[in-house]
Amino acid sequence: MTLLKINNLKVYYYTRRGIVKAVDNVSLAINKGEMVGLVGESGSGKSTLGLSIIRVLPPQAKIISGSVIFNGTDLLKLSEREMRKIRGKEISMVFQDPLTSLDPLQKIGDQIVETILEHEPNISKQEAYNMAKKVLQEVGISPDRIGNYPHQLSGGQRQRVMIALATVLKPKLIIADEPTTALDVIVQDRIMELLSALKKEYGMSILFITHDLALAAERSDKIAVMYAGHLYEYGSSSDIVNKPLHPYTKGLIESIPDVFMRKEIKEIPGQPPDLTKPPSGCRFHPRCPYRMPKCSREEPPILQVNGRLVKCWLYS
Amino acid sequence: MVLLSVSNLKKYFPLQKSFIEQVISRRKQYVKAVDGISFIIREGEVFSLVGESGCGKTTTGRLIVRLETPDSGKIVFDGKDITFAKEKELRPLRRKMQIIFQDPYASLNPRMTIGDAIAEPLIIHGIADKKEAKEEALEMLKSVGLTPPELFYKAYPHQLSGGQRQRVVIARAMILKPKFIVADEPVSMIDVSLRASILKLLMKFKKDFNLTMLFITHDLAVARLISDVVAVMYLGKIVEIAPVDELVENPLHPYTKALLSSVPTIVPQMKREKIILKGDVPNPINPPSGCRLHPRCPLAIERCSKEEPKLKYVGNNHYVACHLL
Repeated sequence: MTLLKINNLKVYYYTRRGIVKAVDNVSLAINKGEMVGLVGESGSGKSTLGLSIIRVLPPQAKIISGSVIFNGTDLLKLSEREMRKIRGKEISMVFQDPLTSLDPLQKIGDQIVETILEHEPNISKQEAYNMAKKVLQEVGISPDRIGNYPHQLSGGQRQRVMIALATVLKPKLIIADEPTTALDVIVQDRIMELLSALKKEYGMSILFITHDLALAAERSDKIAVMYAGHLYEYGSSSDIVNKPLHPYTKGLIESIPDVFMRKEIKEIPGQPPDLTKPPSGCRFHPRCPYRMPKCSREEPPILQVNGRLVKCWLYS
Repeated sequence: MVLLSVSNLKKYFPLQKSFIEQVISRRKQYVKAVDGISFIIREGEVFSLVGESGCGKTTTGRLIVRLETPDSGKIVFDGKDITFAKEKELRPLRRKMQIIFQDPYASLNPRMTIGDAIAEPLIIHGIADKKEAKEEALEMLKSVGLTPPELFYKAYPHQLSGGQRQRVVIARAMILKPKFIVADEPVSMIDVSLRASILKLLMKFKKDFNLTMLFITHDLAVARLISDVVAVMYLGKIVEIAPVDELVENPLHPYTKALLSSVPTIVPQMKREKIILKGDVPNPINPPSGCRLHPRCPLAIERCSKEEPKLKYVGNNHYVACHLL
């Protein structure tokens, strides 16, 4: 069952240097209980896509067109007041840097209680404290640290508190934007384990935004690959990793080393484009080894190939 | 032939205290960043130091090129003891050893053109006059893939992308034709699709000039690609050293096993059983007694908390510091 459906979304940034087409005509559907890895490099538009779902974009960004249908409602049509009821309760977000996302002057327990009371005014303070204790336990933090301030916790523990905050009201969707990028590999593994466990336990859907294809492949059911504001491939994790269709996905897989495989790496020539002046047609064409004359003229359509979506002229 | 040998190297950083804390307690506290490590690097070898943040790998790199002075121990480079060498004695050595830092945005002078930045070391060391230096810099721009070189020569750092800047940093390090390079996380700030090209560039220099490298990284996948030998660090100590394939296929230290079982991979079927360490990395100010991993280690025995394990040779050029072996 589809929980979230993004249709033809366009989000542009109005900067002094010009209009940055950060997300340009992207469609993506996420099913209930599914973890989707949204993979891309910096500037690919993956974070912008995540932020547009809960509408917390920076002021210079504008949603130009499209719709974000969540549980039957178009989130882009809701008022700010209605949106506030959704954020934290129905959809919540986990950011990369827990230190800037947590209030340094408030005890972690109080921050969780505040979130609960904001959305559930009928719950008593005592009940909310019990819920906070329970959720801390669930994310692997001893409930007697409920009176701690963020600075008293390690990086991994802070990210656990962020996850506790994001999951205390059992939202249907969690948007996790590079939740482990600031963490060491052992801690990263445990945080990902925790997210997977919560997904399983409560049937939550997770949009996992990352630059790390291997990490996404290991943990997600599906992978969506973004490049320069476009979504180029979307399919099951094993398909994407084992039989990539889009030349960019292929290039990405060939360019990353893997600890358990002795392999040659191949570089993707060139550089990601400046999105104020994106290349015509397919935005990957200047770097693509398979490019045809058509690729620079016309934007490829999204095609369905063997049960996955790919935006490339090679398959038409 | 051994190019660099490090023995029992130590560096403690005094903890900055407020005035009041200084008055109240006399005892000085130290962060034991590097606490008695030993290894050798052979000529033409890429030796990687891997570990989590705070394990002391960066400090080790800085000690070796003597941007920091060790507290004790010995560093012998190219047959010369440089442990406590003075700045004047170090000058000629700097021609032979260079360092590449993680952040290409902070490593270049924003007011200097790329060309001048690359040519500068030649002039400083009195190797070339201005004209020759320029020619060599242009040649170097070509070999790091910044073409047309004339265009890049006149560019300023802000006009370049992160990947291009890192190429400039590499060019500047390579222009003196050093024997030895310390590369401290050279690709961790570079975009995924450009990392491969930087790594390939380093591997090309290694091959063409028989360059010896100390490669510092937190990324075991990168270490697998580029290294000949890998040393794993934990809280200021080396816990395991082995040739890279041996280390990945036959890890012996519980910490190495834990690291390897946490690394994301696209071939998950190659992963071994998971080793779960308890808690987080402890504070390096008061590291645990005995084996520093013992409070977190699922296999710890009584001896581990009392006695510090020494690096033991276990065959196949493989060294492990663990009482269980």
